[in-house]
Amino acid sequence: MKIINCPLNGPRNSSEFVHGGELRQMPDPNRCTDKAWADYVFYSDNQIGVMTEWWLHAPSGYWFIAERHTGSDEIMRTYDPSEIFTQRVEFTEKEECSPSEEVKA
Amino acid sequence: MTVIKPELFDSRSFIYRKHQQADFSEVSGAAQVLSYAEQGNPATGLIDLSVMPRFGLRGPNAGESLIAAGLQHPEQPNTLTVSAEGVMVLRLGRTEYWVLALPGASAGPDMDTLQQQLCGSGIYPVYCHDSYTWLAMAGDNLADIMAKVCAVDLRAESFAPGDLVMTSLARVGGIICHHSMAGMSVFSIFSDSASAGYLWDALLDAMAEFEGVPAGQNMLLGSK
Repeated sequence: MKIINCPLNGPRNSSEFVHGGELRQMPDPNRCTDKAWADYVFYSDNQIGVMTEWWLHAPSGYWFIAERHTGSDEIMRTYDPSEIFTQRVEFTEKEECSPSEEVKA
Repeated sequence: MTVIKPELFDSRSFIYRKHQQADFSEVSGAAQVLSYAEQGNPATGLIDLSVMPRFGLRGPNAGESLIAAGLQHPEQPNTLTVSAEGVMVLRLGRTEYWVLALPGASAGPDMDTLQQQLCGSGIYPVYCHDSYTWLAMAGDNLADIMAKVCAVDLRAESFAPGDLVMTSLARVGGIICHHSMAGMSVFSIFSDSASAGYLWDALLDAMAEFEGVPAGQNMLLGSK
Protein backbone atom coordinates (compact mmCIF):
# COMPACT_ATOMS: atom_id res chain seq x y z
CA MET A 1 0.00 0.00 0.00
CA LYS A 2 1.09 3.57 -0.65
CA ILE A 3 2.44 5.44 2.37
CA ILE A 4 1.69 9.09 3.07
CA ASN A 5 3.75 11.00 5.62
CA CYS A 6 1.37 12.74 8.03
CA PRO A 7 3.03 15.75 9.72
CA LEU A 8 1.36 14.84 13.03
CA ASN A 9 1.20 11.04 13.00
CA GLY A 10 4.12 9.99 10.81
CA PRO A 11 4.07 7.58 7.84
CA ARG A 12 0.71 5.83 7.50
CA ASN A 13 -1.17 3.75 4.93
CA SER A 14 -2.82 5.94 2.32
CA SER A 15 -6.19 4.32 3.17
CA GLU A 16 -6.21 6.43 6.34
CA PHE A 17 -6.26 9.68 4.34
CA VAL A 18 -8.94 11.68 2.54
CA HIS A 19 -8.26 14.21 -0.21
CA GLY A 20 -9.60 17.68 0.60
CA GLY A 21 -9.10 19.56 -2.65
CA GLU A 22 -6.82 22.36 -3.76
CA LEU A 23 -5.74 24.98 -1.26
CA ARG A 24 -7.30 28.24 -2.48
CA GLN A 25 -7.85 31.70 -1.11
CA MET A 26 -11.30 31.71 0.50
CA PRO A 27 -13.38 34.78 -0.38
CA ASP A 28 -15.23 36.50 2.45
CA PRO A 29 -18.54 34.56 2.37
CA ASN A 30 -20.55 37.57 3.59
CA ARG A 31 -19.18 40.07 1.10
CA CYS A 32 -18.35 38.19 -2.11
CA THR A 33 -20.72 37.66 -5.03
CA ASP A 34 -22.61 34.39 -5.41
CA LYS A 35 -20.54 33.67 -8.50
CA ALA A 36 -17.26 34.07 -6.61
CA TRP A 37 -18.53 31.81 -3.82
CA ALA A 38 -19.77 29.16 -6.25
CA ASP A 39 -16.43 29.31 -8.01
CA TYR A 40 -14.64 28.72 -4.70
CA VAL A 41 -16.93 25.89 -3.58
CA PHE A 42 -17.60 23.98 -6.78
CA TYR A 43 -14.75 24.54 -9.24
CA SER A 44 -11.11 23.55 -9.18
CA ASP A 45 -8.30 24.31 -11.60
CA ASN A 46 -7.52 20.62 -12.13
CA GLN A 47 -4.10 21.25 -13.66
CA ILE A 48 -1.27 18.80 -14.12
CA GLY A 49 1.70 19.79 -11.99
CA VAL A 50 2.67 20.21 -8.36
CA MET A 51 -0.47 21.33 -6.51
CA THR A 52 -0.89 22.48 -2.93
CA GLU A 53 -3.78 20.49 -1.47
CA TRP A 54 -5.68 19.89 1.74
CA TRP A 55 -5.51 16.33 3.07
CA LEU A 56 -7.22 14.78 6.10
CA HIS A 57 -5.83 12.06 8.33
CA ALA A 58 -9.24 10.60 9.10
CA PRO A 59 -8.56 8.66 12.35
CA SER A 60 -7.20 11.76 14.06
CA GLY A 61 -9.37 14.34 12.25
CA TYR A 62 -6.17 16.21 11.40
CA TRP A 63 -6.09 18.47 8.33
CA PHE A 64 -2.74 19.23 6.79
CA ILE A 65 -1.27 20.50 3.53
CA ALA A 66 0.50 18.39 0.92
CA GLU A 67 2.35 19.39 -2.23
CA ARG A 68 1.50 16.67 -4.74
CA HIS A 69 2.22 16.21 -8.43
CA THR A 70 -1.19 15.49 -9.93
CA GLY A 71 0.37 13.60 -12.85
CA SER A 72 2.76 11.23 -11.10
CA ASP A 73 0.84 11.28 -7.77
CA GLU A 74 4.16 11.80 -6.02
CA ILE A 75 3.89 13.72 -2.75
CA MET A 76 6.77 16.19 -2.49
CA ARG A 77 6.10 17.56 0.97
CA THR A 78 3.50 17.55 3.73
CA TYR A 79 3.27 20.15 6.49
CA ASP A 80 1.07 21.58 9.23
CA PRO A 81 -1.35 24.34 8.11
CA SER A 82 0.12 26.61 10.80
CA GLU A 83 2.95 27.30 8.32
CA ILE A 84 0.43 29.20 6.17
CA PHE A 85 -2.33 30.11 8.63
CA THR A 86 -0.54 31.95 11.42
CA GLN A 87 -3.70 33.38 12.96
CA ARG A 88 -7.39 32.62 13.23
CA VAL A 89 -9.37 33.54 10.08
CA GLU A 90 -12.10 36.03 11.00
CA PHE A 91 -14.84 37.39 8.74
CA THR A 92 -16.85 40.56 8.92
CA GLU A 93 -20.38 40.36 10.33
CA LYS A 94 -23.09 39.68 7.80
CA GLU A 95 -25.14 42.78 7.10
CA GLU A 96 -28.74 42.43 8.26
CA CYS A 97 -31.08 42.29 5.29
CA SER A 98 -34.67 43.49 5.41
CA PRO A 99 -37.51 40.88 5.43
CA SER A 100 -38.53 41.83 1.87
CA GLU A 101 -35.03 41.07 0.62
CA GLU A 102 -35.09 37.68 2.36
CA VAL A 103 -38.30 36.75 0.56
CA LYS A 104 -36.77 37.69 -2.79
CA ALA A 105 -33.70 35.59 -2.04
CA MET B 1 -29.65 -4.18 48.76
CA THR B 2 -30.22 -3.17 45.16
CA VAL B 3 -28.19 -4.99 42.57
CA ILE B 4 -26.61 -2.37 40.34
CA LYS B 5 -27.49 -2.84 36.69
CA PRO B 6 -26.92 -0.49 33.70
CA GLU B 7 -30.70 -0.23 33.19
CA LEU B 8 -31.02 1.67 36.50
CA PHE B 9 -29.27 4.67 34.93
CA ASP B 10 -30.08 6.97 32.03
CA SER B 11 -26.41 7.16 31.12
CA ARG B 12 -25.14 3.79 29.90
CA SER B 13 -22.23 2.32 28.01
CA PHE B 14 -22.91 1.94 24.29
CA ILE B 15 -22.46 -1.81 24.65
CA TYR B 16 -24.06 -2.43 28.04
CA ARG B 17 -26.23 -5.19 26.58
CA LYS B 18 -23.08 -7.22 25.95
CA HIS B 19 -22.26 -7.35 29.69
CA GLN B 20 -24.83 -9.94 30.73
CA GLN B 21 -22.80 -11.88 33.30
CA ALA B 22 -21.07 -8.98 34.93
CA ASP B 23 -21.06 -7.31 38.34
CA PHE B 24 -21.35 -3.52 38.30
CA SER B 25 -20.75 -0.56 40.55
CA GLU B 26 -21.95 3.01 40.18
CA VAL B 27 -19.44 5.42 38.64
CA SER B 28 -20.53 9.03 38.03
CA GLY B 29 -24.17 8.23 37.38
CA ALA B 30 -23.71 5.07 35.33
CA ALA B 31 -22.88 1.39 35.81
CA GLN B 32 -19.24 0.35 35.39
CA VAL B 33 -18.34 -3.34 34.99
CA LEU B 34 -16.37 -4.48 38.05
CA SER B 35 -15.80 -8.06 36.97
CA TYR B 36 -17.26 -10.86 34.93
CA ALA B 37 -18.82 -13.67 36.95
CA GLU B 38 -16.96 -16.93 37.43
CA GLN B 39 -13.77 -15.55 36.03
CA GLY B 40 -10.34 -16.25 37.49
CA ASN B 41 -7.43 -14.03 36.72
CA PRO B 42 -7.30 -13.70 32.93
CA ALA B 43 -3.92 -13.17 31.25
CA THR B 44 -5.49 -10.67 28.88
CA GLY B 45 -8.76 -8.85 29.33
CA LEU B 46 -10.89 -6.36 27.43
CA ILE B 47 -12.59 -3.85 29.72
CA ASP B 48 -15.37 -1.43 28.79
CA LEU B 49 -14.60 1.92 30.44
CA SER B 50 -17.02 3.97 28.31
CA VAL B 51 -18.86 5.45 31.29
CA MET B 52 -15.74 6.82 33.00
CA PRO B 53 -15.66 10.63 33.22
CA ARG B 54 -13.63 12.54 30.64
CA PHE B 55 -13.65 15.76 28.65
CA GLY B 56 -11.57 17.47 25.99
CA LEU B 57 -10.33 20.94 25.25
CA ARG B 58 -8.50 22.63 22.42
CA GLY B 59 -7.32 26.06 21.42
CA PRO B 60 -4.21 28.24 21.70
CA ASN B 61 -4.51 28.58 25.50
CA ALA B 62 -5.45 24.96 26.26
CA GLY B 63 -1.90 23.79 27.11
CA GLU B 64 -1.21 26.68 29.49
CA SER B 65 -4.52 26.20 31.28
CA LEU B 66 -3.66 22.53 31.92
CA ILE B 67 -0.38 23.54 33.53
CA ALA B 68 -2.14 26.25 35.57
CA ALA B 69 -4.64 23.64 36.80
CA GLY B 70 -1.76 21.53 38.10
CA LEU B 71 -2.12 18.75 35.54
CA GLN B 72 0.86 17.04 33.95
CA HIS B 73 1.24 18.51 30.48
CA PRO B 74 2.36 16.05 27.74
CA GLU B 75 5.30 17.75 26.01
CA GLN B 76 4.74 16.35 22.51
CA PRO B 77 1.65 15.63 20.41
CA ASN B 78 0.77 11.92 20.41
CA THR B 79 1.95 11.41 23.97
CA LEU B 80 0.13 11.13 27.32
CA THR B 81 0.75 11.57 31.02
CA VAL B 82 -0.77 9.76 34.01
CA SER B 83 -0.73 11.47 37.41
CA ALA B 84 -0.45 9.75 40.77
CA GLU B 85 -4.13 10.63 41.38
CA GLY B 86 -5.15 8.63 38.31
CA VAL B 87 -5.84 11.48 35.89
CA MET B 88 -4.69 10.75 32.35
CA VAL B 89 -4.02 13.61 29.91
CA LEU B 90 -3.79 12.82 26.18
CA ARG B 91 -2.24 15.28 23.77
CA LEU B 92 -3.86 14.60 20.41
CA GLY B 93 -2.45 17.50 18.42
CA ARG B 94 -0.60 20.75 18.80
CA THR B 95 -3.45 22.30 20.80
CA GLU B 96 -5.89 19.47 21.57
CA TYR B 97 -6.09 17.58 24.86
CA TRP B 98 -8.35 15.04 26.54
CA VAL B 99 -8.51 14.73 30.33
CA LEU B 100 -9.69 11.35 31.66
CA ALA B 101 -10.26 9.76 35.05
CA LEU B 102 -8.80 6.26 35.23
CA PRO B 103 -10.64 3.59 37.28
CA GLY B 104 -9.90 4.07 40.97
CA ALA B 105 -8.86 7.69 40.43
CA SER B 106 -9.03 9.63 43.66
CA ALA B 107 -9.73 12.77 41.62
CA GLY B 108 -12.70 11.17 39.85
CA PRO B 109 -15.46 13.23 41.46
CA ASP B 110 -13.53 16.42 40.79
CA MET B 111 -13.68 16.10 37.01
CA ASP B 112 -16.62 18.53 36.79
CA THR B 113 -14.72 21.13 38.82
CA LEU B 114 -11.65 20.57 36.69
CA GLN B 115 -13.67 21.05 33.51
CA GLN B 116 -15.08 24.35 34.80
CA GLN B 117 -11.56 25.45 35.68
CA LEU B 118 -10.30 24.65 32.18
CA CYS B 119 -12.29 27.15 30.19
CA GLY B 120 -11.87 30.76 29.16
CA SER B 121 -10.73 32.67 26.12
CA GLY B 122 -8.68 30.68 23.63
CA ILE B 123 -10.07 27.37 24.95
CA TYR B 124 -12.84 25.47 23.21
CA PRO B 125 -14.55 22.32 24.49
CA VAL B 126 -14.05 18.99 22.73
CA TYR B 127 -16.75 16.39 23.28
CA CYS B 128 -15.30 12.95 23.81
CA HIS B 129 -17.60 11.28 26.34
CA ASP B 130 -20.85 10.40 24.59
CA SER B 131 -19.32 10.29 21.12
CA TYR B 132 -16.43 7.92 21.91
CA THR B 133 -16.27 4.47 23.40
CA TRP B 134 -13.35 3.65 25.72
CA LEU B 135 -12.12 0.07 25.72
CA ALA B 136 -9.04 -0.98 27.68
CA MET B 137 -7.07 -4.04 26.63
CA ALA B 138 -4.84 -5.15 29.49
CA GLY B 139 -2.37 -7.95 30.18
CA ASP B 140 -0.04 -10.01 27.98
CA ASN B 141 0.57 -10.18 24.20
CA LEU B 142 -1.06 -6.82 23.50
CA ALA B 143 1.20 -6.00 20.55
CA ASP B 144 0.66 -9.44 18.98
CA ILE B 145 -3.11 -9.12 19.33
CA MET B 146 -3.17 -5.62 17.88
CA ALA B 147 -0.93 -6.69 14.97
CA LYS B 148 -3.93 -8.70 13.73
CA VAL B 149 -6.12 -5.60 13.38
CA CYS B 150 -3.78 -2.61 13.08
CA ALA B 151 -1.02 -1.66 10.61
CA VAL B 152 1.03 0.44 13.04
CA ASP B 153 3.91 -1.24 14.92
CA LEU B 154 2.72 -1.33 18.55
CA ARG B 155 5.62 -3.34 19.99
CA ALA B 156 7.26 -1.81 23.07
CA GLU B 157 10.40 -0.80 21.09
CA SER B 158 8.44 1.64 18.96
CA PHE B 159 5.35 2.21 21.13
CA ALA B 160 6.49 2.78 24.70
CA PRO B 161 4.25 3.54 27.68
CA GLY B 162 3.28 7.20 27.38
CA ASP B 163 2.86 7.03 23.60
CA LEU B 164 -0.41 7.17 21.70
CA VAL B 165 -1.29 6.66 18.05
CA MET B 166 -4.31 7.72 16.04
CA THR B 167 -4.85 5.19 13.31
CA SER B 168 -7.37 2.71 12.00
CA LEU B 169 -7.85 -0.57 13.82
CA ALA B 170 -10.12 -3.32 12.55
CA ARG B 171 -10.92 -0.82 9.75
CA VAL B 172 -12.40 1.83 12.03
CA GLY B 173 -10.63 5.00 13.13
CA GLY B 174 -9.38 5.02 16.69
CA ILE B 175 -6.89 6.25 19.26
CA ILE B 176 -4.62 3.72 20.98
CA CYS B 177 -2.91 4.84 24.20
CA HIS B 178 -0.18 2.86 25.96
CA HIS B 179 -0.06 3.18 29.75
CA SER B 180 0.25 0.82 32.71
CA MET B 181 -2.00 -0.08 35.60
CA ALA B 182 -1.43 -2.60 38.40
CA GLY B 183 1.92 -3.53 36.85
CA MET B 184 0.31 -4.49 33.53
CA SER B 185 0.54 -2.95 30.10
CA VAL B 186 -2.77 -1.37 29.10
CA PHE B 187 -3.85 -0.22 25.64
CA SER B 188 -6.71 2.25 26.06
CA ILE B 189 -8.64 2.35 22.80
CA PHE B 190 -11.03 5.18 21.86
CA SER B 191 -13.29 4.87 18.88
CA ASP B 192 -16.51 6.32 17.56
CA SER B 193 -19.46 5.22 19.70
CA ALA B 194 -21.37 4.12 16.59
CA SER B 195 -18.89 1.29 16.01
CA ALA B 196 -18.52 0.32 19.69
CA GLY B 197 -20.38 -3.00 19.41
CA TYR B 198 -18.51 -4.02 16.30
CA LEU B 199 -15.11 -3.09 17.78
CA TRP B 200 -15.82 -4.95 21.04
CA ASP B 201 -16.59 -8.14 19.10
CA ALA B 202 -13.69 -7.66 16.66
CA LEU B 203 -11.14 -7.17 19.45
CA LEU B 204 -12.45 -10.15 21.43
CA ASP B 205 -12.19 -12.22 18.26
CA ALA B 206 -8.55 -11.12 17.81
CA MET B 207 -7.86 -11.84 21.49
CA ALA B 208 -9.38 -15.32 21.47
CA GLU B 209 -6.17 -16.83 20.04
CA PHE B 210 -4.30 -15.49 23.10
CA GLU B 211 -7.00 -16.55 25.58
CA GLY B 212 -8.20 -12.99 26.02
CA VAL B 213 -11.64 -12.56 27.59
CA PRO B 214 -13.98 -9.72 28.58
CA ALA B 215 -13.17 -8.38 32.04
CA GLY B 216 -14.01 -5.57 34.45
CA GLN B 217 -12.20 -2.68 36.04
CA ASN B 218 -11.09 -4.84 39.00
CA MET B 219 -8.48 -6.33 36.67
CA LEU B 220 -6.95 -2.85 36.24
CA LEU B 221 -6.94 -2.27 39.99
CA GLY B 222 -5.14 -5.52 40.72
CA SER B 223 -8.05 -6.98 42.70
CA LYS B 224 -10.37 -9.86 41.89
